[in-house]
Amino acid sequence: MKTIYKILFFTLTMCCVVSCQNDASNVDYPEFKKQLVVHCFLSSSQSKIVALVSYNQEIYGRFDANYINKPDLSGVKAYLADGDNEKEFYFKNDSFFIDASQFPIIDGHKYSLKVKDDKTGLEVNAQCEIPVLKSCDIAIDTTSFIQQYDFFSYKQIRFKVNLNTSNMPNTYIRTKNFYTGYEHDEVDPLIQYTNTWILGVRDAYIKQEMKNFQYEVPLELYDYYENLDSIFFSVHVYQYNYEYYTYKQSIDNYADEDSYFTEISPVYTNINGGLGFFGGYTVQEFKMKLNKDMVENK
Amino acid sequence: MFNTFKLLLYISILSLPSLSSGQDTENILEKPITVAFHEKTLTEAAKIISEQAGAGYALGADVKSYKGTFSIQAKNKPLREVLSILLKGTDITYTVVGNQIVFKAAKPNQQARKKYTISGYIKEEGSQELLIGVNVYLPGTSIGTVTNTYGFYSISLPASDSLTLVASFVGYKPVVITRSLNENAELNINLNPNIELGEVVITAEQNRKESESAQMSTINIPVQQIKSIPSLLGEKDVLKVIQLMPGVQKGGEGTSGFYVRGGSPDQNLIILDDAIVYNATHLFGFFSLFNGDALKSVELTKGGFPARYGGRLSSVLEMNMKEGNKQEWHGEAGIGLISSRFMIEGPLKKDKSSILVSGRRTYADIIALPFMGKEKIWYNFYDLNAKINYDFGRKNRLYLSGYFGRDKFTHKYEDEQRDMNYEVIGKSIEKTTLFYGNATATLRWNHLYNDKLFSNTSIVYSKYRFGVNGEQDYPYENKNYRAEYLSGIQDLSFKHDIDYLPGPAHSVKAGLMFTRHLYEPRVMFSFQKNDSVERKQTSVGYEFATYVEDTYTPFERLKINAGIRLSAFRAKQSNYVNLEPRISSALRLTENFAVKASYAEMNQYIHLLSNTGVGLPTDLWVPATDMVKPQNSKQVAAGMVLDVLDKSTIFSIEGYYKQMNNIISYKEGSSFIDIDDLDVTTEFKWENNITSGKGKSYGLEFLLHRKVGKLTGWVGYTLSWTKFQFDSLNFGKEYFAKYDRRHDISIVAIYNPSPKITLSATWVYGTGNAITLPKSSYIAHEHNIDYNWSYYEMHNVKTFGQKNSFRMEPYHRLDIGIQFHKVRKKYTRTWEISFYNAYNRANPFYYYISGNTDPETNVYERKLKKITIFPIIPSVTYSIKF
Repeated sequence: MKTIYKILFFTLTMCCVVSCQNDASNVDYPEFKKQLVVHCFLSSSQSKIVALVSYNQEIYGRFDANYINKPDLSGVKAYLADGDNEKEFYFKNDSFFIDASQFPIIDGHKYSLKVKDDKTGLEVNAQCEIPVLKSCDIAIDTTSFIQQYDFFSYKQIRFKVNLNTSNMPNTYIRTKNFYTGYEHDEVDPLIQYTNTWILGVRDAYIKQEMKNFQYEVPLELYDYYENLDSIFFSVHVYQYNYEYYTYKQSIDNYADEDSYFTEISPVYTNINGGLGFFGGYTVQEFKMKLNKDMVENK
Repeated sequence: MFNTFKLLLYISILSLPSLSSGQDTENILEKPITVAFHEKTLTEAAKIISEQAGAGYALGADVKSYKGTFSIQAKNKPLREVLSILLKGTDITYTVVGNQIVFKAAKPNQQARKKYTISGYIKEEGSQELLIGVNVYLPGTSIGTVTNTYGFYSISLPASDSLTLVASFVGYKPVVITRSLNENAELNINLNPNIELGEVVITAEQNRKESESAQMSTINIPVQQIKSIPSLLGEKDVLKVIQLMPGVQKGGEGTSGFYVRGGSPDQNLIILDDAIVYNATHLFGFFSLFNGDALKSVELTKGGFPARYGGRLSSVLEMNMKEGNKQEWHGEAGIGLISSRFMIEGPLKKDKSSILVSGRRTYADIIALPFMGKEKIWYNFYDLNAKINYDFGRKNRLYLSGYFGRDKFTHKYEDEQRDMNYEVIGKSIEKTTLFYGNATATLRWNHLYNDKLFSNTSIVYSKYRFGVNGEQDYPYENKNYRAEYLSGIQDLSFKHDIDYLPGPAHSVKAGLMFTRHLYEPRVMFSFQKNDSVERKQTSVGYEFATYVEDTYTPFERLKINAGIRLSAFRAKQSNYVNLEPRISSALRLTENFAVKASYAEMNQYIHLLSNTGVGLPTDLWVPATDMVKPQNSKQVAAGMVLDVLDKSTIFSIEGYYKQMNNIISYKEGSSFIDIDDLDVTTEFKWENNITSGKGKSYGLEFLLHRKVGKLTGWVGYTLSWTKFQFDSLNFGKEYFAKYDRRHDISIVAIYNPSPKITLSATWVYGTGNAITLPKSSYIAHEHNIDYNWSYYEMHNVKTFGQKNSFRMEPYHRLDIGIQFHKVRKKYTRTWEISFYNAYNRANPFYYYISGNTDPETNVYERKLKKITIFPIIPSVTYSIKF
């Protein structure tokens, strides 16, 4: 009897609730339009300017299962111009390059990018302005404590960073924080080692009313580094224009049709006639030398 | 005016020959005649009498369509006396012009004689249930009124020795009462339901015309019709019947959420006995709370809102529970595929007090649980309605009603715990429960100040709560953990409404309401042994409104309902005050044809954060704030209504245009999941995930509705457009709403070939929902400062084109059902067999992209797949009524 109930229950459940899956019929698939995809980020601190070029891909249809997405860029040419001069990128290892020494990037200047494919006839262009470096003051405070366990302990140093941003309103900044330790070999002191640990990236959009950008970065040291010669905590401050902020936000918020409970959110593009992004940034570096005893586990 | 002119002209023409005829008017009136006839029309009666008097006759245009009948028996009596007897108690008079007797409507000075008020309650014969919306009117005229929500009516009429009054209501035998009216009078009327074999057979006799009402964009569905329409798994569902009406659209397949004239489900005010119901669905939206057994009336208003309604932009769905039989005990019970229900009603004190209790519960969990092992998963929901009332006499009545319903999903896992030697040391229990539900309570006091002034005072409590509870119990280690997440809203309201009926030309309603909303977007508890932590985020909002409206009849063919509502809201630091003008009017061009127009402004001070629009329990109600302003709408509608087939059928066409401002949506990429990610200890920043925009909806609605007869039902068609525009969505461009539906057709037919059988069928068709589908994909590079080569943080993303630019397949479905009724000695039983989606149409619930590689051809194919959740579903229901 129990088995009959089970079968009945299962059958009823299957009949009434089970989902049916079919191919969609009587629908017009969205039309595919081939487009050039270009990414290029300019900065006066770069030694090489790089442009990445590719194509968007079809979603629906039949494809060779062994197909490797390596676009045919043999007919593609890319140019960078600053209003007076235009320089063509050279193609190498699937990317397009310009040596910055031959085409220096200057803060506050406007640049335009043009990419065209002679084979497909597609052409895109974009403009960007390199932000003017707005200097900021930085104050870094440190605290530390020892976390003691039964069999081991470690030391945590907390870097409290206070960036005075009163000089840089309406700017999107990102800070790259890292620790660099220089040490020598225990046996042969002439052999030098450099250890760099990235401690994280913090970003913020600095508005008019924001006078400070404050954050904390922890560094956990599980050993005592006896052979350390010197140690540094560094902060690189990257400053972008608003358009890049929009682009970055759209990538962070990206949601497609698979995210059923989220509004679909596309990625922003400023490439006219195509996809991707063309933007600029500036960098300034702050470095703080730490006392050796700070990293001792005591 | 035109008719008066025609009559005067006619009389003037008739007067010309009389100048030369020489026959004295007085002589004709004194001429003795003998007549005898029974129930003749005015034309027939005039013809017989004038022949006997040897005169001609004429009918004024204002009495040509007079519906009453005349009977007389007179032997050798002067014509004057015969006419006096014949026309007694009517508003018809006569004059003799030359050799003609001219019948016409009584002159204004005659109508202006002293008026008295006749008032009372209209109840169902037997049960003493007060009836809402009963028409009380003078036959052959447009003078009349309707009973209010509490069955009360009042009408001022000229004094008369013989006044004929008719009370009629769909589903009941009309009552015709003739009496004198020489002082203010109380007249309570009992209507007899047309009951045959326990089912109501609706008659058209003396039905009131739809064209005579000033109200437009309103749908009344008899509860009995709701019970006859085939439904999913046999569960009778008020909201799904509402979805079949023009201007109302469903959300997803099988769900109960409804969209009225482009508005989202949160813009519908759902009221049960004055209490707002915040989440009207069970089983994640597939069934509604309202099963019909406990309901007395269901009315949906889509536009032309009277000033008494407010607080939502798009619609008001007002439902009233039955009071319970005051004479004897009765009940209903039913067994369906997924639930069983019961309703019992009866007197606590005969003719004074009654009680009604109704309940429903699913039982899949009860059947399935014994067959589950260590891991148990079950789901159930239940409803409980109760109402008790006491009649203190003509002047005072007290009602206490309540609703309580809850859905509960539970996952329980029990396991034996073993030590290193594999010896059982105890049992662990892990249990997760998801629950949500509404609770409402309404205390109402009806008071009759005098024959013209009626009042209702209500105190209403309403609560909606959603929660997730997780529990881990390890008795062998003496450990217990429990965590609970709750969100919801609680309202406490005070309402006072009055109906003032100064005369037949005016019907005034006024009132005020005050509500304290307690928003609980997040409450968290965690317990560990004796240690418990509670974190709450609540806020309070105060809503106030006052209104006045008047239904004014300046002349017989024109009715105007004009009103104004003042609404105010305060929450946190935000204060809002708004004036909402309302007007609707109906102008009758012929006896059965009227044109109507309306304008209404509405404000909504509460928002629903929802990603899905299907009414998931995770949706959050939040107040208007400084950042997120109240929603606002302006709606204009115009149309015509035609009463056809002896008033049993209504044909109406309405066009509307609705502008909505400050409507909200999640920002792109945001969802309620983001809100849950926030730390509860920090300030609740739901506003950061919200963006405000505007919307517009316009369209045409056609409805052919037959409420009475053997064949009843309706054909509805809606042609509509709904568009939204948000600065931060779709790059600021206008786009179609998800539930924009160009064409929407519903055909509902209920046929009673005999008292023992009811056949029913429903066919629906709708344009597919607008959704967003990807067009292509590409690799997006982010400037990644973590690495030296900064470009190579890659994201595989898709391009979409315009938001909601893709249409799902059209939706269509046929449901059929048959009911077999049989009267037993002590009860009436009904078997119902129905088929949902009878021709097994694979309607899409949602689409997804699927890719597969054919190993033989090595071809990878990616295409769109659809999920259909309801194929053909048969169901059987058994119910009894005693």
